[in-house]
Amino acid sequence: MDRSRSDAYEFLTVALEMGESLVACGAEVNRVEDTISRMGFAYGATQMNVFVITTSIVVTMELSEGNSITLTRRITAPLSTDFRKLARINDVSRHYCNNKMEIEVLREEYERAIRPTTKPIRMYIGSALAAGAFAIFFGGNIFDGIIAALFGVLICFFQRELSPLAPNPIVYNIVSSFVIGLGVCLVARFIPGVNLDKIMIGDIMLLIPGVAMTNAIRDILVGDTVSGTMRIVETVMWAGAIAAGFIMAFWIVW
Amino acid sequence: MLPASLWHFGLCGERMTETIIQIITAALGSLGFALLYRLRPEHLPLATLGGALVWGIYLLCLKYTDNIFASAMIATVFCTLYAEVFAKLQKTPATVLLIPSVIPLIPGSALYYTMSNVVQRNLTEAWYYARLTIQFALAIAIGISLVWTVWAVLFQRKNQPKDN
Repeated sequence: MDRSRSDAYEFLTVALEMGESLVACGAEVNRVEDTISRMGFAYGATQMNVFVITTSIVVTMELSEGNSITLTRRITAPLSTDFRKLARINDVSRHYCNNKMEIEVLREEYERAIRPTTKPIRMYIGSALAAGAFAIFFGGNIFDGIIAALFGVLICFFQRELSPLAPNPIVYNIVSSFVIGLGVCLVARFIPGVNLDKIMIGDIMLLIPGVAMTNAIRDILVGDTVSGTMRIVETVMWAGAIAAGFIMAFWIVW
Repeated sequence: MLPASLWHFGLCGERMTETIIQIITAALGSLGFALLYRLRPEHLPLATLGGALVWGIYLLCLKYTDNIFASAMIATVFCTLYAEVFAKLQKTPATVLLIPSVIPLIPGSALYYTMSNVVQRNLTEAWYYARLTIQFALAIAIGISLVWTVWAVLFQRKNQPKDN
């Protein structure tokens, strides 16, 4: 392996890692494809063939006639939407495309970009606010909103602490929606004057993969049929798991 | 008789208070999701405003067209344009603004009633809500793709190496 080739290999590894992080924090697949190929052209490739689906990345970078590098990457990290990280990685790639830098610098910048910075408290507040607001939005009263917000905090706790421990998203969704459903049913049963359905809806807004489902349909419409289909099957399974969890809770309480 | 749709109830007529409450809670809901999705602090006001605007436009369209699908689609088209324009100004990916803003259109309520009606074996009503859920999901997806296609034709650079 001559100098430039190992250098290119080094570069492509960083680019793949950036792509992987982008997918994991909620970027659309065509954005990831676009980012990797732009960076490749900025590096000096004559041709970039990038194929991204939500579980893997395949890249062939052609440096000159008959001299190309192919790398693949299996993505196993679960989707955890993090738009701050997404925007930062995007900044790094934009920066790289505009003024080329050394690969060590690129790696450093990338590692700085993925460092966690958000305080968990903000996510708890966001979760509570979203659940409470949507319980009222869909017709609940202020008490429904408050109860939904409290369960929203619990959901956020589950998502942060429990989901990394679960073997897969299906199991996690069944368990968490069962616990939440049980809690909401009990509260609605023993506290008069609260609307079970409105509280549930507020909390379901946090649990359902609504965004993922919309993204999936959009992927298909835009032409990324493989990613879209995979994501649709995934989200339908999750939604089914959530429904199963709630149904079990209903049966136990009523 | 099917239950009156939540989206019609009190929104097409004179019940202004409910409309205002909905727009405010839509904004707060968007803010909540923006926090949850870890937006940068400087983007939070834009996402919040986006949520309020999306729902306001949706209600306005619904009032004049009385068509849920078309209204949700128009609101999404607006929202996507809003996100794209501000994303360009702020030099950030458009998704970052789009997803939190479009959240009020996500049919969480319809999905819940589909589920609970299936459990209670009210299959007619379950089907009604299932259709509503699908209508919203499709309307959002089509709205976004529509704008993106036009946007890509207008603005995107081609994926070709630069001739330096």
